[in-house]
Amino acid sequence: MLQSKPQPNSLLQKLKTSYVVWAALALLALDGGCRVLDQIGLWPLSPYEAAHRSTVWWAATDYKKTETAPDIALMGSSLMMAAVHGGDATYENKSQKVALHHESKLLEHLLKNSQGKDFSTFSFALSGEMASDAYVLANAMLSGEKQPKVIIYGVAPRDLMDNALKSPASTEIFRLMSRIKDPTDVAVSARNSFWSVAEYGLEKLSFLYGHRNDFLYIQHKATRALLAQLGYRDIEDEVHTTYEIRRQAFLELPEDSGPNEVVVHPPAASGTVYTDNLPEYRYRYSSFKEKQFKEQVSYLERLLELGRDRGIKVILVNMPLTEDNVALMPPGLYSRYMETLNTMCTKYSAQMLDLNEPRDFPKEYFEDSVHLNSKGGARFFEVLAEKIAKDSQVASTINAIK
Amino acid sequence: MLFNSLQYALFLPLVVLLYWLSPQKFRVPILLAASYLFYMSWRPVFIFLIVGLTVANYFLGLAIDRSKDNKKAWLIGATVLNLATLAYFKYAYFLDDVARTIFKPLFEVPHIPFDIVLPLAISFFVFEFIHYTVDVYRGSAPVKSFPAFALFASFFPTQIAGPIKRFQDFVPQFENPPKFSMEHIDKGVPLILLGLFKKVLIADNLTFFVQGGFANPQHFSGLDLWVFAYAFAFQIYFDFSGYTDIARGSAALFGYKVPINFNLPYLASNISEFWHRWHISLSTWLRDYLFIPLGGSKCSRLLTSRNLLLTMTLGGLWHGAAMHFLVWGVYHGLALVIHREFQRVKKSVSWLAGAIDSIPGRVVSTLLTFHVVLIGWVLFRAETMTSATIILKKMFTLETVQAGAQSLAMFLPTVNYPLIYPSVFLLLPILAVSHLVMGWLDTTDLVKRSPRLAKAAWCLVLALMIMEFSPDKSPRFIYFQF
Repeated sequence: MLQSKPQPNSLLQKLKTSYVVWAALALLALDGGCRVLDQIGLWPLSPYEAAHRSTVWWAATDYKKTETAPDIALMGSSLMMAAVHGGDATYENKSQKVALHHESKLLEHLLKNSQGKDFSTFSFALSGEMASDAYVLANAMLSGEKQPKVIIYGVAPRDLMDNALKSPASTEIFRLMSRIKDPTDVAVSARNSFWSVAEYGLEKLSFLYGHRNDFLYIQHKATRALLAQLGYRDIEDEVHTTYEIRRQAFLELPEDSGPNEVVVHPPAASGTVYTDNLPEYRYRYSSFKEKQFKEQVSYLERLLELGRDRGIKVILVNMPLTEDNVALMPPGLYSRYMETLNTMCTKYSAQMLDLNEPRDFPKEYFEDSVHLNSKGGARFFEVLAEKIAKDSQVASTINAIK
Repeated sequence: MLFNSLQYALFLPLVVLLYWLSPQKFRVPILLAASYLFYMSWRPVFIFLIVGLTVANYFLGLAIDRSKDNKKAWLIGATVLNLATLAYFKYAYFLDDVARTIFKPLFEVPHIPFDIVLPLAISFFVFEFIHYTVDVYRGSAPVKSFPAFALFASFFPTQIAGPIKRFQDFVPQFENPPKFSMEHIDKGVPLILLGLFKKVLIADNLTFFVQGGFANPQHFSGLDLWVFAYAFAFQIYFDFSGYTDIARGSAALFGYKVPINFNLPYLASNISEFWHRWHISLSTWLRDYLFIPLGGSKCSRLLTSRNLLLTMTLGGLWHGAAMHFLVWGVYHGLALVIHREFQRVKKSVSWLAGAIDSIPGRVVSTLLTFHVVLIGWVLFRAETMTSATIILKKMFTLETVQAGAQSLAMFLPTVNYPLIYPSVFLLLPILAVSHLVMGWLDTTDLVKRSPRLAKAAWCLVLALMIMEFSPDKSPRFIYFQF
């Protein structure tokens, strides 16, 4: 008796006939295969090979190229960054490209004069760097052979509060650093919504999704090569975008930057134009978020703890601000902030220097209510060097470097 | 909840699973609940609007059907209710502005003293309600089951931006419910992937480029602005047709069919054909519920032209309460009137008809039609009428910006915007060619006829591209604002 061929009626049989299922299985196999390649060290790309270049990418890449660890790592937001670049622009009487300049020649010079030794510096002071960013930066970059002896971290109340910040994990610094060394201790707490945690989970679960930046890099490289074949000149390290698109880009993608993008000029070239940005800070301080402040303070604490555990001395520098700006803060905030810094320094054996003295930094040293101009940058490091020399504990910390 | 979000990536499979695992009688209620949940994910309060209008139109439909003497009155009541709701949410500010301008010499018309938030999808479900009540008035049987009617209006795959469905096609699918088959998955998933590919890979990557140009047209040369206009033409096509593919694919996972909305519109060889290929569900709606009731083309040349102009002008305003949308509508209306008159000339001049219908003639016509549409897109995309004027003037005079400006060096920054930087000049010709390739694939039916392995590979490639090259920030679908 002839038997008919069995039809695919069980679920398993039905699944076998579905090409979507085949595709899903192939995707899983591919993902697993790439993960294995990575585990055995055959994945061909590193996190430093990035399709776009943010200020933190320029700094991290530059740091990777250095042969030895610097004696002093400078950290902080654009307040410190403006001081570093403005200070060197004044000292060297030369314009400084923010994307490429990552040291403080002026501080090295001043410390040599005051301490009689050669010190090397590296600046990780980056615009928008919150305390959470400083922590992940230190966690990923300042370890092992590349560990500095001292971190000088310039901080101000505004570095612990930012209305535009969705979550600590949403910044470009956090994202790049997570690719270099995933901060597993804060991976979940740094994401403030279920969906961003789910996204993180997906990145961990799927190798291909987690490494999509690598594929972007490959695509960019291939496109550049193709464009080169078509006669376009190499655009590797230059900014070719017309100003208006660039401006739009900054609104949409503030992290992207190139070597000619932000340049700090010496005082003679830059003039002394003061921009009143108090309305921005009136808004920023008025919608003060207690939860965010506490969260950022906890990251600052983690940074100090990391310094203690790794044997890196941390010197917190309270950054100069204009009196107008301090006056805008909610009542009690500034004293609470200072108290917090002092308490933490004691707890973690860190040191603190308060440079927010209006006598030392009158308004002429500022380009707006918070950022120092080039002259102010030079002044900042002069005052810093003086304070280091005067403070016996800090002076011994610096002296102990060499 | 956007189609291109992680939320949707979890929501959709969950609903699909729940739908197929449930007994048949619960499936429509499950989809209805899921659709309302989907709608509430944006602003929960607007659930009252969609439910309220659904209840009202359901009973109005029954009233129109049952009434013997007052059918027309019920229809007028239903139409007024639907249009007044749309007018309040969508056109109140615009009408207020217009009234203020008109009556300025006589008296001061006050500003609307409160905020009106435009509910998502209102233009789409209001048009579906109008279609329903009008068709019931014209003799179609009303939908008896309330859940089926409510699901027709709120079905989440088509809820936010269509296609605008016809209840005669859609509701019977609930009455003959599909049985589970892997074919639904095999049909739905590739469509969703293709839609996501169009949306996140092409449209989203073009968004940023287009935005830069249209926001500051005064700073770009005429040549730059042509490139922006081309980019927008592809952005809007891939954005909206991508959305429609995801909608159709999502519906297919439940075994339902929703109509197509696009048929390679940029291959149209005249403007009338374009409107048969672009946003088909809207253009057929405008035809059936506006153009034909106005008299359609079964009247004098002058009146037909008036009907075309009026239909397209209102179609323009449907997209948004702004002068540039209105002008865009008038522009298309005029283009259709000119095309109609040209057709008359063509019919009477045999050599002209021969030349236009030849292959070179069709190529030229297609290119010409595309550029007519392109000029329309400038009106559509520009932020204001003033901005549109600046762009068009520069495009047609090929005005340059100051000497030495890198007007063609529009390489964009690169935060996870993979295709645009630095490849926009490569991308645009590729997109143009892709239209031709898709046309060829359609005519040869190659995808359908290809072996399973090839289909699986196609899905895999799409999934990989979406995973690897989607921008971090994905803008909303353009048609969500309408």
